[in-house]
Amino acid sequence: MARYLLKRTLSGLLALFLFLTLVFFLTQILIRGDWVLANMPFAPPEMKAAVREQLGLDDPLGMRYVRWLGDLSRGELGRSYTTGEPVLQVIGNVLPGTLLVLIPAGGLAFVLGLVLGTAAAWRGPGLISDSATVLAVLLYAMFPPALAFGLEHLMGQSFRGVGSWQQLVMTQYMRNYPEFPVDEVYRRMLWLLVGAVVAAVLLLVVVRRVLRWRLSPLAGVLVASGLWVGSWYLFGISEPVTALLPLLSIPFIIFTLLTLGDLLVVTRTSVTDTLHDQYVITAWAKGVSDRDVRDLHAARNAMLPIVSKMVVSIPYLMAGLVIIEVASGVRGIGSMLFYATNMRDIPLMLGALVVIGLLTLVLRLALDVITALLDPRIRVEAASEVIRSP
Amino acid sequence: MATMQDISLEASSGFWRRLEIRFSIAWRRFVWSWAIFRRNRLAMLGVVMLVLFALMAAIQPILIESGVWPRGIYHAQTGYDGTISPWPAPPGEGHVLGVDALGRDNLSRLMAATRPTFVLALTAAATTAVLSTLFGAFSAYYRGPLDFIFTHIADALLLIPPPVLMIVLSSRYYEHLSAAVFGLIYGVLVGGGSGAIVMRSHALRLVQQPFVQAARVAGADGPRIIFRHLVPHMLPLAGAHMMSVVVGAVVADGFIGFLGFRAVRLNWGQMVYEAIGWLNVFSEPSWAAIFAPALALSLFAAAFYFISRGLHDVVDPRLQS
Repeated sequence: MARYLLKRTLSGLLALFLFLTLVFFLTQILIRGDWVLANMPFAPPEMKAAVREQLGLDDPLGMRYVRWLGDLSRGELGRSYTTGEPVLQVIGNVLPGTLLVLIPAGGLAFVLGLVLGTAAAWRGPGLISDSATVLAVLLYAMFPPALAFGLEHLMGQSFRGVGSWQQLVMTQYMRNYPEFPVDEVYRRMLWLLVGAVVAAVLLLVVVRRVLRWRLSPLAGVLVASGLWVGSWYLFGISEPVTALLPLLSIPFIIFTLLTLGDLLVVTRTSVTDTLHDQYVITAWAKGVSDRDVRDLHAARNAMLPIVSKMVVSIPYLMAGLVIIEVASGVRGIGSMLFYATNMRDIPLMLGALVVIGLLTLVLRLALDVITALLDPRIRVEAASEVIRSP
Repeated sequence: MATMQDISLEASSGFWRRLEIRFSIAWRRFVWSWAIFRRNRLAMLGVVMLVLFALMAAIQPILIESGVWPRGIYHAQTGYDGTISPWPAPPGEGHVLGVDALGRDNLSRLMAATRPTFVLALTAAATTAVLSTLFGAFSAYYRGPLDFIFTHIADALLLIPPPVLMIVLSSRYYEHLSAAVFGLIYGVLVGGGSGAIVMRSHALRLVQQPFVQAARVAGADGPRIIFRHLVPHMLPLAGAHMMSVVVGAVVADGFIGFLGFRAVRLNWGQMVYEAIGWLNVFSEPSWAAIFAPALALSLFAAAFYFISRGLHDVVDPRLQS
């Protein structure tokens, strides 16, 4: 198992390296301009030349590539062309905003998709089940900017999509809560979220092992969100958080709906497939209760295709992340990448792509772990390293 | 039946005869698959929706050419309605969805935008299907270094968010990113990436099947086994995958159009953006103008997704009995 994961990690890192190479050459070749052209247009030519010399901008492409990789391996991503801040610092500031949307929305959509998809499959084909599927597909295929606009209008806000990077600082909020910078609040919320999720998981495990109650995953979501909301009050950040919630809620709703649609349809198909399987019929025949057949026999085995389908959905979700963050005007890694690309801020853009690549990689590894846990064949194969040649 | 075959055997040479057999096998497989496909009600809904969209794309030029919609008023790019003031205007007589800031009829534009979107969807789907089938079949059959290279390319392509790549490309090739080119690039990204991963795992299962072993024993070489034995069995799944790819391609295209990163004249995303921009004129947003193109985009993408689900049924051997 450990060896399998190590292999997956190494292979993922190799893919990341390939991706970085591709992205580096693509941006260097396609995007004109560099630090000097962007930041000192009116400087005397000899000064420009000196800075170019110092930054090594006139070196051959291959040399710049090697130097960039070297910097990257030391964790240096350079400085932003537009603001002059270190890229790593900018990313550290905006990443919590992304994770605050990604983790709760992804988790909620996953649980809701499983529960609703299983229920739809259990009902069998019919008007309710079919119309739920149609609705789910429409959600999956929706156009995020229009939905963002509609939601913002419903909440009485003005449309924030497609502004500029500077506009995303949210001046109104800053005026009301000068002692709580947005990024700082996001960071605290993120840590509290991680704490709440861990606590909820522990609690559920204890309830299950000690009290022998089998709770629906929906209960886990409820407990975790309850703990999270409670912790805002406990740690005294409830006021700025409630001021920020309308901002976060729009990307949260859109991302949940977008992910939910796909998961619901895939779960429904997958569970429907297992319903025809022998072991489900056997479970019924020996008198297992309906709920147990559904949750323990049918849904459990249906998980594997769902998880492997999710690996394929990752790029769609990451693209969706960029689209949603831009459309709902939230400070995050996706909108940063968008504005950096728009402003031809190459170091910032490459930095964002590195982080998105790493994020995707972590997500894939997590899915690999789940697959290995679910599928005994992979565990066995990983343990004995059987390579089937054709 | 026997006489038919005898007659054609006499009448045609070996080549035509073989072609005929091939065609009749393909036809029978199609009828068989269609019977399975038809049982999926959602897939049939998808087909109906797609036919409606095709009609929409076809009717718009007919309406204008036949003069039902006067060319000067209803042409999607050059028409304007001088009797309405001010532009943009909310839905009214003669203009079901209102007119835009240049006085053009929104419904006509909505219908005209269907054609480029079709071009985009079909290019993206075809590129994905071809690339993912080839990558999957070759890496599953040969394994070894080829498999290693293809798999890692696929993993690397999986990391690129397509809209961002399109924005980078647009910085240099703004004028040249037509719907077909956009579809092609999106297809390469997905077909070489996630599509190749899906098709490879399917092909790995196929390679273990007895008929592939039998072909190998009979002395068939790699390319022959791949193109004659593997690829035909991979096509339905490739079809299912390429249809679901269209969802991402259409939404990404709408987003790029929304942001104006492509020299497009007719695009649903762009129409949404323009309609939102009218808030500078109206105090109340024009819901019809904002949500009609957005809904068209979603329904169009959803139609492909429904068809993809139907094709999945065709692939699944358990549902074929």
